[in-house]
Amino acid sequence: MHFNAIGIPAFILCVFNFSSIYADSWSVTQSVTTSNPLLLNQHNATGSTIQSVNLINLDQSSGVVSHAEQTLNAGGNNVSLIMLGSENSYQSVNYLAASEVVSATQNATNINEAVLRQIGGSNNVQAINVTKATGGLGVQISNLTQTVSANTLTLDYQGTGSGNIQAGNFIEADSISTTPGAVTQNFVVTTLNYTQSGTNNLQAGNVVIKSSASSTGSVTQNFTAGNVNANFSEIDPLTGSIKAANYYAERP
Amino acid sequence: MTCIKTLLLLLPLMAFCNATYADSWTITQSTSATSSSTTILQEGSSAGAVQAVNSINLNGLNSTVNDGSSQQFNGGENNLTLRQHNGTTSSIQAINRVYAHTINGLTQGARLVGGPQNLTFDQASNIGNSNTQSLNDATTSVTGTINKLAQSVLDTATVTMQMTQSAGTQNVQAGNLIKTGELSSTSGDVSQTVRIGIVKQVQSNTSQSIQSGNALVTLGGSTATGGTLTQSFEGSSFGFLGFTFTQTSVSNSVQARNYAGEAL
Repeated sequence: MHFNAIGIPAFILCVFNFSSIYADSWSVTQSVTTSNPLLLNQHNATGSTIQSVNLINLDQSSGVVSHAEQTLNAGGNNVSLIMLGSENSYQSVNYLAASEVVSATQNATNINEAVLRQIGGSNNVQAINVTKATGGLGVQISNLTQTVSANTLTLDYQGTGSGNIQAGNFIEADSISTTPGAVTQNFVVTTLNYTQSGTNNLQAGNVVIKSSASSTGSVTQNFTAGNVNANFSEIDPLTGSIKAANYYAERP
Repeated sequence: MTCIKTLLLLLPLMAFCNATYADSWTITQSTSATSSSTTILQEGSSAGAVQAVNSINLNGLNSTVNDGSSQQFNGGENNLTLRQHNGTTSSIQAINRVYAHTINGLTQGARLVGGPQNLTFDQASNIGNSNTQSLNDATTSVTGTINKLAQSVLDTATVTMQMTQSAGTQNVQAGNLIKTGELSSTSGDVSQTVRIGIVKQVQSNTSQSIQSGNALVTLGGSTATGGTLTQSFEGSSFGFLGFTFTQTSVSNSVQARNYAGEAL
C-alpha cells in the first residue's frame, strides 16, 4: 500500500521532468514591411546595445531557436544604419542570438540603397543579417540561410577606431553543420562601395567569424555584385584592415 | 483497506480535477473613448502600481482565462498618452492588460483610427526601474502558459515611443507585450500584429531597456519551456523627418520593431 502511495506521485514527477528536455526552445516568425525609408541612428551606445528591425535575443547559454524566420520587405526604399562613437554594439535589420540555432531564415529584400556608416567607435558590428550562436556545446548552427538583396550597398567606416565589422551577412559561431549547403549566405547587389579608415576593421559581403583555428563547419557563401568600387586589397599591411567579398576566419 | 487504497489512488486525480475548474474565467471587456483624448499618468513614488483601461488580474498559481475572452479599446480620432516619470518603479501602464497563470484564449485589440491623432509612450527623466508601458499586455506567472492569444494594434496615428531617462534601468515599452515562459507550440495560436502610420522611436540614457513595436519577454531564464510566436509589423509610413530609430548614450539596451528574447 505504501508503495502505491509513493509510486503514483513518482510516476507523475517523471512525466513532468520530460518536458524540461525541451526547455527554453522557441519558434519565432518576425516580419516587417514598409512603404517609406528606414533610418537607424545610434550614438555613443555601449555594453552590447542592439538596434535592429527584427530582433531575437535568447539566453546565450540555454536558449534554443528551433525555428526562426525574420523578414524585412523594404518595398524598394532605402535603408540606412548610422553609428557614431558606439563601443561593442550592434546595428542590423535581422538579429538572431541564441546558444543554438536548429533552423533559421533571415531575409532582407527589395532594398534600393543600403548604407552602413560608422563614424569613430570600436568593436562594433553593423550588418544587414546577424546570427550569433557561440554558447551551445554541440552543433551551434544546424540550418541557416541569410539573404541580402539590394541595388546599392555602401560600407563606409570613417575615423580612427578599430575592430569594427561591416557586412551584408554576418555569422559568429564555432561549430556549424558540416553538411554542404545547410548554412548558406547569399549576397546579391548591383553596386557595392567600400570606403575605409582606422585599423583592423573588416568590410565584406559575407562574413563568418570563428573564435579559433579548431572551429568546425561548412558554409556556402554566394557573392554577386555587378560593380565593385574599392581600392581592393585583401589585407592592408599598414592598418590590418580588410575588404573582402567573402570572409571566413577569426576576427581581424 | 481497499477504501483507503482507492482514496490514495484518487487523490492526485482529484487535485487535477480541482485545478481544471479553479479560478477559471471567461471575460469580455470593451471600452470606447472616442469623444476626447486620454492621458494616463504615473509619477511621484508609485511602486508596484498597475494602471489599465481594461484589466484582468487573476492569481498566479492556478487561474485560467478561458477561450473566448476579449479585451477591446477604441480610442477613435483622439490623442492617447501614456506617461511614467519622477521615481515610478516596478509599475505598469497598459490599455488592455491580463495577468493570470494560464491563458487559454484571449483577443486583445487597441484601435485608434480616423484622424491625425498622436499616440505617445513616454518614460521621462527621473523614472525609476523596472516599469512597463504597452497598449496590450499579456503576462503570466513564471510557471504559467499562454495557449491562445491574438494581440493587435491598429493605428493611423503618429506614434512616438520615447525613453528619455537619466538613471532608470530595465524599463520596457511596447505596442504589444507578452511576458511568459511558455507559449503554445502550434504555429498561429499566439500572434502579435501592429499596423501603423508614422513611428518614431527614441532611447536616450537608458540601461538594460527594451523598446519595440511587438515584444515577447521570456520569463524563467533557462527554466523557460518555450513555444511558437508570430510577430508582424506593417508600417504604412515609417519616416518622420527621416529619424525612425534613435539611440543616444544608451547601455545594454535594445530597440526593435519585433523583439523576442530575455529581459536585459
